[in-house]
Amino acid sequence: MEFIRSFESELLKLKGNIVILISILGGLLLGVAFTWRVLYLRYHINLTDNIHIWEKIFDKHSRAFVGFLIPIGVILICTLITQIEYKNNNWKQVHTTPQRYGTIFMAKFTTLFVLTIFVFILLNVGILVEGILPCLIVDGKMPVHPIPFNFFFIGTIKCFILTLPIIGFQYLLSLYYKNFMIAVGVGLTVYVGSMPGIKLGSIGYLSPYSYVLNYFDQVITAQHYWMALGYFICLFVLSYFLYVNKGEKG
Amino acid sequence: MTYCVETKNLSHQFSSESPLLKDISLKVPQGSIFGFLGKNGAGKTTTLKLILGLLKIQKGEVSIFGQSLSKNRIAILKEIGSLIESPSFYGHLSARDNLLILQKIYQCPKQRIDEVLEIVGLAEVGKKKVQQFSLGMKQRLSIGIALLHQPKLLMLDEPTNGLDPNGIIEIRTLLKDINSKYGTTIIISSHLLSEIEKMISHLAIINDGKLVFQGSFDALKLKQKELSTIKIETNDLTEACKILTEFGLQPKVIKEAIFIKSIEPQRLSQVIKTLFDKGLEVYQVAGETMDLETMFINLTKN
Ligand SMILES: Nc1ncnc2c1ncn2[C@@H]1O[C@H](COP(=O)(O)OP(=O)(O)OP(=O)(O)O)[C@@H](O)[C@H]1O
Ligand SMILES: [Mg+2]
Repeated sequence: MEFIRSFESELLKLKGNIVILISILGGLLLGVAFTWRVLYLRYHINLTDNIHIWEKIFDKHSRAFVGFLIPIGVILICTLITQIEYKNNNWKQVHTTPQRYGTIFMAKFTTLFVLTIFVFILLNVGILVEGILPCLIVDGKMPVHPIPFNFFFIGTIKCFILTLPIIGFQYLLSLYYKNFMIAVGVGLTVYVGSMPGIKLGSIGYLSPYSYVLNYFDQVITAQHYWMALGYFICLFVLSYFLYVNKGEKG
Repeated sequence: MTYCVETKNLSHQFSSESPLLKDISLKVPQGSIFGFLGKNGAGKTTTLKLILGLLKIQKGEVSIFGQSLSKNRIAILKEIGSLIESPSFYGHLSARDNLLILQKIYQCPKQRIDEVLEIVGLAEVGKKKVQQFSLGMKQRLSIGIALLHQPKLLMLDEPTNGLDPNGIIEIRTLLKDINSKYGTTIIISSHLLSEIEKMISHLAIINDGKLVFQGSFDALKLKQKELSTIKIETNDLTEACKILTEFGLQPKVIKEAIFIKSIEPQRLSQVIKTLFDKGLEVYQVAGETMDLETMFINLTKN
């Protein structure tokens, strides 16, 4: 109950906030760009007899999305959500409301978690639009290849799991440092640094950003999903611990 | 005596600096309007933050409503409204939405939002984005936020910062009303005694990390009386001093005049009569009362 109230108040804080706009734009960017390209080429999926055409589209979208948009997106979402409190000294107000620290921590985390899920849903919307819209416009009918919703669902969950270490890492940074330049700067540095870093074999996986980059490079194995999950849990527990024990709360 | 807020030997030190607070033992009586005074950087905000749990307590104890904050944090915070240092608000939201966020958490009646906007004089601009507010309007909103859930204890850190003279009087009247109507205990910090002396019943003065005065406002006035002096001018300072000493007074000569501690009128008249009887001429006898502001400045001088 306390959590629901807290979460509700967190959602209220997002009203008219730029983070909503960024999430929508980020989520739809690929869909719009790819659809536009397909329309321009007047090439639609009814022209191919490749029965895995939907899987191919998903692969194209998800690789670009997870490899490039999501790292930037998560950095922005985490930073903007915590900056809502930092900007006008709101932490001290929040920390004098009758809420457990754990509730505050979870409500904020849930907010950014839900926003990230929302962005992933928009990714799927973009995929469907790229597949369906050109068929309707150019061909005048729906795609002939059945849409593999199950595949999309499982594929999206997998991508989301690979994103979790980034969420954990950025939430920790932006919760701990008032100055958003630290969260953004460190985040971008680690992200860019991980690009050559992932070539280092198993130690390449030390970076929270390595999982999405390896997905882009298509070198992800089943074991990496478990590692990403474990990585996230460690970061999550660590940031909770740091948050609760912070000496100065506003 | 029940205290609403009590601290025991509260000390604090920011890393790598010399101790800021040394053994602060505040006693805020239930139902009082308690002034917390000190000059800039004296540690008022730090003390209030320690009481509210915004800073980790390094040494000492804090109890609110007779309970320890660390053990009963949630229950205690439900009954406290606070405004610490600069105003807190969500700039991209309206004043109404700002209050709505807190109404959700405190679970107070929704109509309180309109009541509070009315009380702090923001009813007309309740829908305007707060980032477009003037400083005084932001301050008013912050006071409104502190009042929203009708707390038993209000902790206001320089609440009249940025308010115009009318606003200051308005808030002062409002706080006095709340205090007398609901028995709300109010802790109000300031660096100006004159700003709050008209409303406080008790006060504490902090200087250099230590309490230099704590008690009722009447006790401060008594102290003021003790510190006030009588100035006597005569033709023979040495002889006059001898006579005054015989009366058990401790005369001090400063620039051709004698100063003694203030005494009752009857005794003073006796003293003067004796001076005349011994053949001295008395040119002037004048009472010198130290005004509260000067006294405050003296107390907070190192
Ligand atoms: N987070 C901090 N880290 C280090 N020093 C701090 C911190 N916060 C406050 N101080 C120092 O502690 C001292 C007291 O600050 P505080 O804000 O408690 O004073 P104050 O009595 O509220 O002053 P004012 O009347 O200006 O509001 C100052 O010297 C300040 O520099
Ligand atoms: Mg202060």
